[in-house]
Amino acid sequence: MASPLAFFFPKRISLARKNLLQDKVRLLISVGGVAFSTTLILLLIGLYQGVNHLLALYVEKVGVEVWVAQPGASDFTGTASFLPASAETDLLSIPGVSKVTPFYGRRSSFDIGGKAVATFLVGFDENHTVAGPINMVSGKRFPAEGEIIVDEVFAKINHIYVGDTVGVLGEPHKVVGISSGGNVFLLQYSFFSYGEAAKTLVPEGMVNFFLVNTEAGKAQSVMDTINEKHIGAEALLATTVIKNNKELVEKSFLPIIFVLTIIGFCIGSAVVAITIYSATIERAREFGIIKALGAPGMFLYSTVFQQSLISGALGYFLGVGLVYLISWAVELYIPQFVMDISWVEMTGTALAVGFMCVLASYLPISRINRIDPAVVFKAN
Amino acid sequence: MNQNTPLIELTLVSKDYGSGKLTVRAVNQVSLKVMPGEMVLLSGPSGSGKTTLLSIVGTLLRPTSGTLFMAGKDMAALSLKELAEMRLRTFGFIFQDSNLISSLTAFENVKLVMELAHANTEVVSRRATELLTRFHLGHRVNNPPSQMSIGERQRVAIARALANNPKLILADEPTGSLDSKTGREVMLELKELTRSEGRGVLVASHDVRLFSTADRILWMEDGRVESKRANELLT
Repeated sequence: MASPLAFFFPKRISLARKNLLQDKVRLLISVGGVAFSTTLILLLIGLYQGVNHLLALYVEKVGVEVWVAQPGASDFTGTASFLPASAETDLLSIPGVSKVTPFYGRRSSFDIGGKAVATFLVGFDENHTVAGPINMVSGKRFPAEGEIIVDEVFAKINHIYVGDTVGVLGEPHKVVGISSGGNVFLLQYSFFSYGEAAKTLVPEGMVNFFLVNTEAGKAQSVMDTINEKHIGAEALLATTVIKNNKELVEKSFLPIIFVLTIIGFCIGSAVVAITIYSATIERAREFGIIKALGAPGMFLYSTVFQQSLISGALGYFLGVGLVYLISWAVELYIPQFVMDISWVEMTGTALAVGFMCVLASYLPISRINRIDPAVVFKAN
Repeated sequence: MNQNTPLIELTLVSKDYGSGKLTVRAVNQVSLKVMPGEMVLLSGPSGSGKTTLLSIVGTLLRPTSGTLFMAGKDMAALSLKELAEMRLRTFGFIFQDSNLISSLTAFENVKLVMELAHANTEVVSRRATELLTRFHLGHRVNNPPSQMSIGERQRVAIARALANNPKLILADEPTGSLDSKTGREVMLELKELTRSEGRGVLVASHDVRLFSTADRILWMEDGRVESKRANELLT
């Protein structure tokens, strides 16, 4: 089998490669256009995937099957949920429910040096371990009264370290730990003692959510029963909570990403098309000569397509390199932006670049079709 | 192929451009033959129809009327693809401006036509080197056309024309951009190719210096062709 390198360094003459290398500035523009396009597309998709992944991570890690919230409070960040604590008894009486945990957690803010900074506060300690931090980076895992654990992204953005003091709901709290996995792009999770959360996040006798563990295979029926019982609460499957959490981002973010991705694709296609087309026009006489000498049409078409494909491939790899460089810089300087780029996005973008090359070859090829080989007998 | 079969045989070939009252007849009922080992010079003033006739013989233009046979084969019966194949394997083209591919070296320009004809890779390299050496271009193998003199470029064009061992060479003003010494050298090379290898050569030129090298001279004027002797034209 021929080596993959044979495409770029063939034994036979690659007129496409020779033509491209003869005008390096044009090649650079062409490669730059595709690289820009690839970078833009991958960064946007990577960012979208990263945020989507983060929005799901916490709910997944909590690991309960059913979330019970105030009716209409379907997500974590956009709405608040308050339920009577007494509903716990009703929930425990439902067949298939194995455990019910009151959950105290809602969007709030810290006072850091007189500045209000948004966070999602969750009550958690060694006696109530269901909804704690996903991973600990440093410090204590369980906060006592007057202590708080903040997410590493939050700490990085706000320059907070273990031992610092921040204002939480009007009271000073000592940062005793830094956790990870609690970044949901617009805000980050922070954890303080369960008892404090019960006193400060809800009015007396209320909780924010109930976390319901069910017997195997009973999640759906438990959810249906809760919703049918009209206990003043709405049950949601964990998957629905994740979906609702993502919905806000999908509604606001996805159309923008879609439009920008299309723009990126169009820019890449246009740059390759213009550079290859202008190169074809400039070489129209030479293509005419090759036609006159007896080259089959396919040779000429494949030369143009290869020019486009080589520019596309070089641009794609340069773009991927740039994406990694930018991701590294973003992680360092804007930690709330998390990129999640897998081989699926890479392959998808590579296919998009391939499609760009096909589109970009169309005009030059139709131009070649119109070249009269008799042009060779006209003086240059 | 029989030595008595003409390489080219045109019978009453005409070529019109435009239509209706604006029709211009560039070639008017031309009949001619070129035999193997024969060098025919097609001469005449500018605009007389030489280039159009050469384009028809080279199958780059279809005649409006008349027949064109190449080594006994009717060109009208061939598809565009078959004509291209015919040009690649049977014709060698030499143009006024050498018309080399600017992004390729001398070696690659010669190699390209052989590769297009799907010749074996090793044979291709060996033959390209041999041809360039034969035309004293051994030192220019890796040079692109921009780094060669006009004469060198024209010699590369001749090497390229010979690459696929064609039966017929069509040359359009091959000495047009050369000084007299280089022009004469090029014509002698063509003459030598005709004699030693039994090829047919049809040269379109109004360069009087070439008259003495041709076996036969055809004079073209207003699209018509008549045979002339060199001394007739020189006087």
